[in-house]
Amino acid sequence: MKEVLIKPLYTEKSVKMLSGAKYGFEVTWDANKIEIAKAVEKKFGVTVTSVNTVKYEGKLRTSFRKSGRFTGKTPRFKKAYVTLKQGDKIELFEQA
Amino acid sequence: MEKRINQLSTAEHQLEVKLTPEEVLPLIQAEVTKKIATITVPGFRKGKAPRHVIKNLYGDSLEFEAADRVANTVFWNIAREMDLRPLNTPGMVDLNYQPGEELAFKVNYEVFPEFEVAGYKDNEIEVPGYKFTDAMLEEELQNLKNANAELTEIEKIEDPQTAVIDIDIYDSVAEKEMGTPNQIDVTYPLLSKEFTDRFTELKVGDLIEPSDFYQNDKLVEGYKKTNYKIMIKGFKSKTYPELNDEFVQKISKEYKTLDELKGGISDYYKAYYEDLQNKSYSAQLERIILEANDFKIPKTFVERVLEYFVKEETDRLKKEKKPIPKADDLKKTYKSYAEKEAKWQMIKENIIRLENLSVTDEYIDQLVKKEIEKYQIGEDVLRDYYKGESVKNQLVYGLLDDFLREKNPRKEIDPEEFRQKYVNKLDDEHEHHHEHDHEHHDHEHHHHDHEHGHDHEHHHHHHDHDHEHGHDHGHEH
Repeated sequence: MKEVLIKPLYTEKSVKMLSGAKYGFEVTWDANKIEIAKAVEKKFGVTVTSVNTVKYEGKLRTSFRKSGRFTGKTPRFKKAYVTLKQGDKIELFEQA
Repeated sequence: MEKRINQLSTAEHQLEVKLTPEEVLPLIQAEVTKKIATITVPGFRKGKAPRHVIKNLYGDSLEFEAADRVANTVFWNIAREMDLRPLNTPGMVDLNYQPGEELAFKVNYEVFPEFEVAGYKDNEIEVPGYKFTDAMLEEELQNLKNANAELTEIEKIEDPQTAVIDIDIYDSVAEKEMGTPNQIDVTYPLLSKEFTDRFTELKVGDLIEPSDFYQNDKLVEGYKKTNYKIMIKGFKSKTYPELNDEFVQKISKEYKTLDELKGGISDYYKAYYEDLQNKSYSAQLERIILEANDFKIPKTFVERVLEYFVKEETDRLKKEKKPIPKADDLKKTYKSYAEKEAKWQMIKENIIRLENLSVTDEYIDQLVKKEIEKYQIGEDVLRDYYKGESVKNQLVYGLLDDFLREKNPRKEIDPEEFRQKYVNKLDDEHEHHHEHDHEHHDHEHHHHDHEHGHDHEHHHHHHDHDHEHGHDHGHEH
């Protein structure tokens, strides 16, 4: 089975959401909400009540080099905010 | 808080401080909070990362760093409170701290060695008793007349006293003039008597040998190696203006009448002489007290003064865009001066201590009352300014100055006697100091030829060369 969760999100916004039992993760681009919920439940032994996802397209970045203009893209990525059942906790975030 | 001063030597002290956990915790927390506000963690705006996130990243290092800063602040607070006046940059020699426990540290610092200063009271300080005389006033007025005289071209000199001669240097081999026109008159100091006696016989186009022209042997020697002669180019006659109110109004915006001008000149000279006397007094007093005291000056202090001088000199040269000598060379030049300055500084500090001179709030209040009219700022602003640490230090030195002046009366003596007694002696003693020892030779020269603040408007500038043309000639060859 493919790995769905890439890394936990630990940012100003995600830390704020911890109080509402919402945990942020970076997930694979093609993972759906059901896959994400299952992956979290399996990995941390908790019950997921809802999943919100958001996709970020990579941004265009242009740099000027000796050989001329070089245009590329930053990587695209997908974030998922997972809400747990009341009372459930993910230790990884609590320790941080 | 426990604090103790250990005397390591006469010039080195150690401050030992212990802060209880309860005292130190809020101070450490405040420092850590200040530091956290400057830390950027990815995913968080600057200073917005939660404390536990930072703690995870940095561990206890933030608190140790904070302890260092707390110790520093505490030291300086104590230094101010106990008036420690460290001479050098104090060095932290021991700092013990564990989060949640007490903070203990030791700081070593140098102080002005305490000693009994000898001979700083009851000295009679001799100063030159310069007097502004009527003859000097006359001379000044004559200079003004001279500077504003009108020139008319004449064929031949009839009255040498009012004559001005146009001259140029003539190359007798190339048979041409050098194109360096100048003007001289009978008062020009380098002229030989034979030449001034011949004024009425001179004709335009006459070529004069330098040996007939100058009375200065060195100048004549210089000319001997060249083919130069002095050529007479023409004659002018001076008409002096009449000294009256109209003349005064013409040359000055400040004065309306002749009497006012005379008063102005007199006031200017009196202030100038007063200033000279003050400088002379300070220099004499410093010399007497320095001579009366012999002690060892801490090397680090001399070094610090020396570094200050070197920095000041380097900055000055940089500003004037002049070549900057090596720091070591500058140090050599300034070493003895720095030693003297360091010694004087230490004596002053000890007199302040011995006489208990300090700037009290009442003193500042009096000062504020006196000065408030000069500055257009609020009384509180001025008071806060005077209460600032560095200004307060300056004020203490002002108090010391007043004290020394009160305890060491001045005695005016004949300027010539003063010159014989002190200036020549100082010249011999301080020959190698001349370049920088301003205080010592400012008073040695009795100038009469400085500008004064009467804003004279010279309408006829053709006399401005009076004191310069001699040098011009000299440099040509």
